[in-house]
Amino acid sequence: MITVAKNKGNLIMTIYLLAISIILSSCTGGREIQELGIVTSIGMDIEDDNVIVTCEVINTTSGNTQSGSSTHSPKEVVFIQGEGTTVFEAIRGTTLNFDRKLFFSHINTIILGEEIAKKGIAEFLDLVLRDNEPRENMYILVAKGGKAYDVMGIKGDLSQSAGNYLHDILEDSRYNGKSLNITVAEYYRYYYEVSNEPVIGIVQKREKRVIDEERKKNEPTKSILDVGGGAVTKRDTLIGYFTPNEMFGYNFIVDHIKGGLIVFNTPKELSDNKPIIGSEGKFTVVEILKSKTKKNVTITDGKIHLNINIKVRGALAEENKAIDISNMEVIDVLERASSEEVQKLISKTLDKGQKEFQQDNFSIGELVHHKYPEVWGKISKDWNNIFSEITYNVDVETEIVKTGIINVPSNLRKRR
Amino acid sequence: MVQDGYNPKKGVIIMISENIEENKQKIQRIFNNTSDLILYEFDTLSNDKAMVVYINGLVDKKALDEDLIRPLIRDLVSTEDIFSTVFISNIKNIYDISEVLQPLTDGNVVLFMDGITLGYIFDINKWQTRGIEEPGNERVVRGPKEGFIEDIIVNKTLIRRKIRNNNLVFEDYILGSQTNTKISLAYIEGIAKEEILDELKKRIKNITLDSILDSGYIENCIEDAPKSMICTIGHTEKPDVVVGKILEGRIAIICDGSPDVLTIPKVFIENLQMSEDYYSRPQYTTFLRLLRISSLFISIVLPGFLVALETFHQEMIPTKLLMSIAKNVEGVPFTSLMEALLMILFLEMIKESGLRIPSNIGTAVTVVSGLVLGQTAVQAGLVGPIMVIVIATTGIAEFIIPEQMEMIVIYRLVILFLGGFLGLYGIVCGMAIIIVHLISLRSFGVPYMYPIAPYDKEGMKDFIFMRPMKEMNYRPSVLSNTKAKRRNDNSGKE
Repeated sequence: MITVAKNKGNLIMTIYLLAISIILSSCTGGREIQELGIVTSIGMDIEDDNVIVTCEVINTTSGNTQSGSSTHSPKEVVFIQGEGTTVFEAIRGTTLNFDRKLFFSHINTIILGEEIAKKGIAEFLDLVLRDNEPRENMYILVAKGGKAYDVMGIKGDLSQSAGNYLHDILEDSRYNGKSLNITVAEYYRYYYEVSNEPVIGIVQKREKRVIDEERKKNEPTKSILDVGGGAVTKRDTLIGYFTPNEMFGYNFIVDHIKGGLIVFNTPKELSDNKPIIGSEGKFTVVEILKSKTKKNVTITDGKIHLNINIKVRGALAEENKAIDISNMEVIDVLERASSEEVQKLISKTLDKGQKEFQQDNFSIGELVHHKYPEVWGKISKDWNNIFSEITYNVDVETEIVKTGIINVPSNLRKRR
Repeated sequence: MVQDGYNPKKGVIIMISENIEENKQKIQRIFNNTSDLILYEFDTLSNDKAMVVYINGLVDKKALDEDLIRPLIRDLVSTEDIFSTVFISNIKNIYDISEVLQPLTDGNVVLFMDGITLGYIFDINKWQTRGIEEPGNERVVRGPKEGFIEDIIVNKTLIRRKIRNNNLVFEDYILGSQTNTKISLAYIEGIAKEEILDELKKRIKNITLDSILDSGYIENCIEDAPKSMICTIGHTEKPDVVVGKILEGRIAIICDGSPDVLTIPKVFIENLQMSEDYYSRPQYTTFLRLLRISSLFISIVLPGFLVALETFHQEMIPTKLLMSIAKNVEGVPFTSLMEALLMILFLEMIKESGLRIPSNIGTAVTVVSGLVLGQTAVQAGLVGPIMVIVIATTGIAEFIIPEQMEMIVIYRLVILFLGGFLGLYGIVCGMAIIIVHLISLRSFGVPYMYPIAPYDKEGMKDFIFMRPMKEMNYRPSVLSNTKAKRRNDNSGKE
């Protein structure tokens, strides 16, 4: 009898545990893929105090992706717009006129219209953080000088959708270093960081010459997107832009460089030396293979001084001038010139931050905070003003490790 | 007086009479006048009346005529000279007539002579058996190709020929009150663990089935967890596999009439070990075992995983894959759980029909199943192509571990439903339960997940990452009696 009772108790307990584990888990309410409207990019604008949300939705009815007949394929994506006083209202408003419920987990990019950025980003991003569907690894961008929905419709030539196109060119920043691909999560990291003012990526519309002869008849120009540059914010409001070259410097300072080209005039001094035969006044290009930035602050006599130390490993990618690359002295000179160029880029950006924006976009305050916590306690409230005054010096060390598969430029070679 | 069936311990003793006629009647009564029982009477040279009794078809007719009856008729001068007259090596005496049943069904010939209360049993059995062939279920590229057949005597020889060792013991049992099937345990004295041997003998004695038609019957009766889906008794048709296991300390159970020889105890990793593993390079074996264990995992989890992703966790599918899935399932009328169930049903039907179908119309099934169900189902929009790929993959993965097919099929359905109703949460719960079950299983007292749980460093050498044979110096400690070195050790040899 006792064992029976015990078994019964176990059984009840098991059923009870199973039941609560099913009920208490939030894994209810599955949705089939057929019911989803998969959003790949989302844009937010504000017009007459109304939020306009534009969603790029994958058109799943555009036929099975059978290869071959892609010439007259139907639209890969459709654009849905909703309007409301808040973002969520605008999104939910789309269900009034769109036949699928939107699914936000696969958003690549979120594009904010310039007006929204000027008004303050945070209030519009609240939903992105609060809702369980959107993932915070979507790229955040400001549509420079326009509306988000103007930018969204532009489709690259090879990408399936505009969102993919934008995503792909953002990912390409590792080859140029002149744009910024920053995700929502990263944005908030900088946003919450003490004293730091985040910089986010931008996107703008450009006209492009149409090369294809057949297409030229119908449309003489084609719109493309450009993500070079960055938007500077104060807390969450847009106050200005960095140009692509300033962005290059910015990326050097914050150690975001994955690649890119350092283009500089071939130093004049090389003409005086022996190995030189050819013409002068041309350019040298060094491709960055690896770059590492170390920043350090020191306080002497109450003055804050910033040291930026950059080590660049590069490959000589292009040389217009007839110089003898195989000579190590020549390489030394080139390395120095390349370092100077990087120094110039950085100074330009830092100066702009100090003079024009008068705020710290480079997480320098954090360095002070870490190294001099007591000082930081006193100056943190007034940090942006202090930052505009600090002195800095930039040390760049370039090392050219490769010179490509030819040694001597062709205009230097002797004829046979 | 004589009951149906035969019980050597309780049976009534019926003494052999001096009168042949009387013996004849008794035997006919025991065998209920069956037509295949031959009773042949003749006179010997010494003018004694003699009678041979045998079952038609079980004896070697030539030996019977030439070596038994001919010498008796021609040369027998006295009833005491029988042993020196006939040309047969295996002769036994009996006094109890009820003892003739077993020898007769084994193909022996019983000789009765007038005037003596003795029966002589001559072992001249011979019947048609299948030749030794390569077992179709366990093909190998390298290694011995012979396989067990349905005859227990041949099977014993196959084992004996590989272990030429006086410590190899065969222990015979007769099971089943109706079929009287011969069972034989094979083990090496000194290597097999005594506790396991005693436990096995106890379980075999407790078998109450009245018929044993295949070793599967025994398997069901002596299993540790008959209600579990996981089989804790190994079976194989290959003598080299059995011998390998016997040499590790396991015990083989040979059943007359079945080419499948059972080995106990069984641990999980035996599902992933094939005989060829030991004949090829350990590096390649390691790769194969990784492949096998991952396909075991895939074949159980994959459909449930896909359904869970498609129903609950669309955010976990990579964006581009989701796009292509979404385009492909557009217009499919079923939920993904239904899709998966449908395809699994198709797969099981194809599998079953492929097994049962007469071989000359087998091609039709292949064409119909492969082409019609696979391609057309997608074109007709019944299922998405991803689902077809996934189910086909699980089907292939399943055949890599044929020994655990039953378990895989059932668990796959369980995981599928869990995934379809609870998402990944359900799958994780299901897998946790399966793993806990695996670890709690015992096979004759040996933990099923040995050598992971309990961990054994020596055992790990023959686990997934296989070491060269040279380094496997010890037998599995939980299986074998002595922790004797496998090589350079004479404990099994005297």
